[in-house]
Amino acid sequence: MKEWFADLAQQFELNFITGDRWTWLLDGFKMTLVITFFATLLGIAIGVVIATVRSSYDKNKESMKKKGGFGYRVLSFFNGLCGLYLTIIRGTPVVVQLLIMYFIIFASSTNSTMVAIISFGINSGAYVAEIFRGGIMSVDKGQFEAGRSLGFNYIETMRYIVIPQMFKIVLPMLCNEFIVLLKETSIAGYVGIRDLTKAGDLIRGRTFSAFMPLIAVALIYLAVVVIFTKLVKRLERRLRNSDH
Amino acid sequence: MITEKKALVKVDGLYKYFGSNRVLRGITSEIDKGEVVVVIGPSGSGKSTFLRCLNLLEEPTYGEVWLEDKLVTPVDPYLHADVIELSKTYQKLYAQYKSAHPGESEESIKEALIQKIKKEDLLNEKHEGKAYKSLMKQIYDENYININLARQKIGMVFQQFNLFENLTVIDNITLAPMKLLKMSKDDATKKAKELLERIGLSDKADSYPVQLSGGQKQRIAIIRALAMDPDVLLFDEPTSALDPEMVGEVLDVMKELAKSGMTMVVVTHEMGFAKEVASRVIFIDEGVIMEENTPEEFFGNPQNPRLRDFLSKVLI
Repeated sequence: MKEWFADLAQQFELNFITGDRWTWLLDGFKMTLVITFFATLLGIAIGVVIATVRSSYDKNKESMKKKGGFGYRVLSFFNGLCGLYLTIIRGTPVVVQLLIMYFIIFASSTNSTMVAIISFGINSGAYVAEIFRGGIMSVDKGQFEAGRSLGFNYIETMRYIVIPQMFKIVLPMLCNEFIVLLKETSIAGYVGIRDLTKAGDLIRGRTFSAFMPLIAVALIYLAVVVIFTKLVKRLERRLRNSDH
Repeated sequence: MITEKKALVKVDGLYKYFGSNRVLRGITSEIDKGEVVVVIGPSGSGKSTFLRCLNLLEEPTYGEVWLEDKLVTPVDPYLHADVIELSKTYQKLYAQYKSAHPGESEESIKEALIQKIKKEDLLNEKHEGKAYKSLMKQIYDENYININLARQKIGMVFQQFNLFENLTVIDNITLAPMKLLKMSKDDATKKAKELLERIGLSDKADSYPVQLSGGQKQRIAIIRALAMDPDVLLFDEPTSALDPEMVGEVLDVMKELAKSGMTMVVVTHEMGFAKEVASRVIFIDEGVIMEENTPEEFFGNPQNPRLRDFLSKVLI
């Protein structure tokens, strides 16, 4: 038993203390958070736009089709474009998307972090869009009508009434999407980004001992996810004030 | 037609089809300022649809809705004959012609004007003339009111209350005045407090809708609409979703409103309310107005057999 502990301490020192290798993990962790954070923002922005286009098309297509005209053609064009985007993004693996972004679309770029943010953001946007669309559709129709009957136009009604209510409905799913994204960024190492996973792997390659660095990486991911879930629970409870 | 008398709301030849289901089949009516019009009818008769057509929550298939002298319904401006006659452009032409040719009869002036419009290719038989189109567009724009503006003047109270669930009571009331009428927060809050005082719910200002009873929600929904200072208030079965003991408190607020001179159109099953408060009662069945009269005549001496049948069932 004593020997085992001594061995563990030695391993710990070798993997984290020697050569300040713990800073690799720290830098990698920072990188993971940066990519996840900005990709989530981008994903939400894309998601809101696409969900708005698709749900306003669904809501207005009957009345607009009858009138025809320019507005309908523009809306149905964008609706088609959004449908294509969703199909492609949800139909291909995120690793492939990342590689295509890095080696084809942004081949001339040297800022691999930016490429990762864009490609994870675009990927996440497709899922967030569907989450938002479900959220918009689950807000009671009467809320929308009440807004319109007071004189708000379509966009104002969405902004002041429907979207705030939608956010409350979709918050748990959005949180889930953030967690998925946080873990998905672990493939960023494919395009040479030193994120958390890559850092752990680099330590393993240097010290030839797998246990310490990989378990450490796993624990860090786990800790972030657990803490984040707690925070969202608390936020949800606050939002629910209007529910009881 | 150029109308001299201005009704507050005018409905002309309103039709509404849902697919092949003809819910409204030609409704024409006028609502004057200060009137309380109660609309009754069996369920599925189209009375709620009629009400929802007044502020275009349902878009009529055919027909027009006018708010004072402005057209609310989005009709095709190129095909709208009445608009031409109402237009300032027409009136200008008319005045010019009349001063140039004094003593001519109305009919011949009209005839001559049509000739003139035709000659100058303002009017093409197939409605294709460019000048005609732009003239029509101009005329239409002059007589047309944007639906969102119109809705600010037409308040609505729903069966299911539809208070904004994410906002407190006070925010529910102040949201539209602040955003649409550009009222300051202080003014809007002051006004909302006064309105809450009026219905005796001042203590609920910071509650959320879910914390209120149905009757309280509906009373707040009424003052939310009132906060916009509408010209007319529409009530879509305001007491139908309420527990019986809460109906009274909502009707009291509506009675008080009616006394204060508010123009109201009320779709309801509350015959007592109709008898007591209405200045006119309308009976709608199968999408048409079957009878329209003062409450005394309407309930005391109904003419239409369907109405007699209906009343015998609801007035026990």
